Amino acid sequence: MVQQERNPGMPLDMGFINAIVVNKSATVRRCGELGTRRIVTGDHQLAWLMRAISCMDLTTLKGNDTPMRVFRLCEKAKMPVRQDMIKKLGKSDLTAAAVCVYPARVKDAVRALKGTGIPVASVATGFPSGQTSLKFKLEEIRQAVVDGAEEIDVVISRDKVALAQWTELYDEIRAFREACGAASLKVIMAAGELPTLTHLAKASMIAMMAGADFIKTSTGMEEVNATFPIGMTMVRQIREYYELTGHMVGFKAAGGINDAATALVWLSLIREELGVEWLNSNYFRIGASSLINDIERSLWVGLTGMCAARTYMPLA
Amino acid sequence: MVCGGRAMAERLTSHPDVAKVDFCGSTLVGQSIRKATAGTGKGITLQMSGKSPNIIFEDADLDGAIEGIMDAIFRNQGQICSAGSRLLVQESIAEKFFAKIRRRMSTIRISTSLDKSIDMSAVLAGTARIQRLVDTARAEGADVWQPDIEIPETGDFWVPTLITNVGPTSTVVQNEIFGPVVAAMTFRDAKDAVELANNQRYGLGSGVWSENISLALDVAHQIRAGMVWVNCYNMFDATGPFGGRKETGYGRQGGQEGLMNYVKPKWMPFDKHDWTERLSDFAAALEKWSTRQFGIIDENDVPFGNPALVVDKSPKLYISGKQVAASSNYVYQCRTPTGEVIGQIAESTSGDVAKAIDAAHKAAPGWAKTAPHMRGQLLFDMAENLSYRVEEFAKRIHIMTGRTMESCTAEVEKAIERLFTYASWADKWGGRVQEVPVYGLTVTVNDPIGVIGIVCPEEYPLLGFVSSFAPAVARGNAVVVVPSEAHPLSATDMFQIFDTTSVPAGVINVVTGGQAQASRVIAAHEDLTMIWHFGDAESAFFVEYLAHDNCKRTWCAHGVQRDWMDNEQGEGLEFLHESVEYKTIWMPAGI
Repeated sequence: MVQQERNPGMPLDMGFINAIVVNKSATVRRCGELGTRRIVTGDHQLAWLMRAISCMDLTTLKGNDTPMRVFRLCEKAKMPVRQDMIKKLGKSDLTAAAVCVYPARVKDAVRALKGTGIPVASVATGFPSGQTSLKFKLEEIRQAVVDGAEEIDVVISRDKVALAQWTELYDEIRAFREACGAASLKVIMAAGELPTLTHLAKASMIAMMAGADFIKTSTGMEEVNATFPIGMTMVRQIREYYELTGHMVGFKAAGGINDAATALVWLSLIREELGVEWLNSNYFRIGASSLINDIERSLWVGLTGMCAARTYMPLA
Repeated sequence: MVCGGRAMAERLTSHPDVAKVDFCGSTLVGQSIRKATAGTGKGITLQMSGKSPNIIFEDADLDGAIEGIMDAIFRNQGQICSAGSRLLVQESIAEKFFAKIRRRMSTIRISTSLDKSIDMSAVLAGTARIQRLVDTARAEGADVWQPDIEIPETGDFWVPTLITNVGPTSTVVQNEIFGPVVAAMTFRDAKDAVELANNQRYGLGSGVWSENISLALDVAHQIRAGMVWVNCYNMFDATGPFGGRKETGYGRQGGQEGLMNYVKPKWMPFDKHDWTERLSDFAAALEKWSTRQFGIIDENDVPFGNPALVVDKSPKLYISGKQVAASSNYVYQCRTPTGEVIGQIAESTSGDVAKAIDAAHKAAPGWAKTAPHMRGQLLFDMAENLSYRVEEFAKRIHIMTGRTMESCTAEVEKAIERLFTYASWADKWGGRVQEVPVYGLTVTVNDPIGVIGIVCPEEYPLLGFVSSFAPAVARGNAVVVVPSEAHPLSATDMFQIFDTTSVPAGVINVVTGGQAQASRVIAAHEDLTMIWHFGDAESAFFVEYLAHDNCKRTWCAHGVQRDWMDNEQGEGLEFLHESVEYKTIWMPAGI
């Protein structure tokens, strides 16, 4: 991942954190109208869908992942849209943003993506629950980087958020950032396991102060993952941080984004709340697996007017 | 016997004196034949391209499987529609297996057909296409391996080729090559294997190699193809039907199942139609047929005379087990024969029809797996629930059509009887054992098609509706039904019966509105592989023409009206035949 200038972080400012407050119902109301106020159709929709693909972290996080399964996903990352469609769209250099896997599979992904420029993202720090020692979390990060991961998706300790241990949370993320070295750090909030949107907002700001390159909504394995109110809350904090420091931090939505229509609303949210400068793979990612299939079918509808069969699009 | 290419095929098949077409060749030519014969009333069987997988499980006889690959893709130079041109190998044995294949490929002898010691001969129609595709594979990063064997210096010969390091996205995995080239991928388990096997446009054949009968049969059941060869490949016999589904085509050759494609019911007239003038400006003709003005409300509309008999109905659509409003606000009037308005009928949009098709797709797998006995029980239950309301349903038909109460009551009772009939067929038409020359078991299973789009006849508003969905549902399909346009209220009255019967959500979906509009959406939808159309001959033309795009199977009335009250015409083998896809599973045996 190429970033213009990396977020260096800043010392923890509890005054700022204590002042953060989120009104849930107002947030929910604003999110309810997102899909209705910016409708994108025709050729513009085709372009937006391709932009969504270019921002996708194609992900597999299953217990039975094997080298072959990872290989197949990497092939899809290289060629996310079927050849004949890509030709019609005139975008032969379209690829996914990254491939995201468990630490044990990093080497397989690196090998499969060799020479393509597509980075491998590894989850780490006892993903998904994070219920393990700091020592092991840091070692896991270091090993993934040694194996070739250029991006690390870490999970925060939700217990620290529940107990309002904000300094400890800051210190933990700071340590993650150091262990990453040159690798980019995405900090997963696991928002579905946090008490309130206000807690989420505070944790998001702390993560950015501690040096996150991206803040990410969820592991994809909580009961509730990337909803619009969660995204809105985090994105507003990204804006606050930018206004405070001048540094751009990226946003990743992960889990529960299953169809093209939803992906388009996410793009709209980013565009409206942060701006076009955020609307590329340097600052916006969608973590997904089956979403690519729905986007591919939507591209087909856009190109031909026909509703495609599910089995016609190559499996991810 | 005549020779010629595509132009000859189109000429021959569209000749007015030709009543039946049986085509074997590429999907491209098959599609043009479908267009040329659309709406003519001719029978048509299409057997076209394939990309069939040979699936090797870790508990297979590996050397036996190697010979199966020889049969599938190297003997015959891989130039057969059912060629096993994909190879799926279980990851745990992949390395060992590929080493075996390479050793075997190195022993292949290639020469002219007159040489008596050969395994392979020349390819038909040149090697340029094969070369192009193999070059594309290399360009996409695949590993292309060929044994170091001699081939004649002149002539169209191609060295057998193994391509690895490819995924579902690769060009050589998706497209038919029609040569001795096999693209290989690995899989973890049966679930993976089935998913990979079915991830293609075509549905012709599949090989399954395993010595575990539970595994082999489970996988055989889940593969969406016309042929499954267990521990063998490319076995054929006239007794056993051969053919495919999806974009491979429809109809079978061989067996009693294949004979069904050459016969029609005795009572049915065979009218031929000619639509060549429509073809000259198809797009304009299509618009004219399927577009109508929405929302014309006549101020002089006369409301129905006796409000005590019926409350003005504004029925909704029935999708996924719920009554939902159509997404347009347009309605048309349902009238009595004297013009009085008795209902406002929703005009379904293409979005509504697509939503109904999606709902059916969600329900189809579960319904197909439901025990046949239970499907039968549901239809018995439905008949029972309808039987409590005979008078009400008869009255509805009487008001809509003006027919006598006696006639209408007979229609309702016939509908109940028909539900009983198909409830009985739900678990008594599973398939046939085929007496082929191979020792073991070869069986044709009557699989559900999946989702069927049905456009109901105008005559007999209740009986026509029931006679349409009942056979399809009994045989395990989910349906999207467009009821009679003029008299849809009997069908919409059935929503309550569906609810009371607890029909699983999405198994039956009903979209009201203009039949031409809805037919167009269904016929053009690429994720639908079968449409039944009980309408006029012109609509059949458009439906069959649109169906060419994804080689959709069609069953059109071409304007022939049935006497639905007569069991010979209104039910039976014809309907069952059109509700299933025949899958023939070959299982040679011996110890």
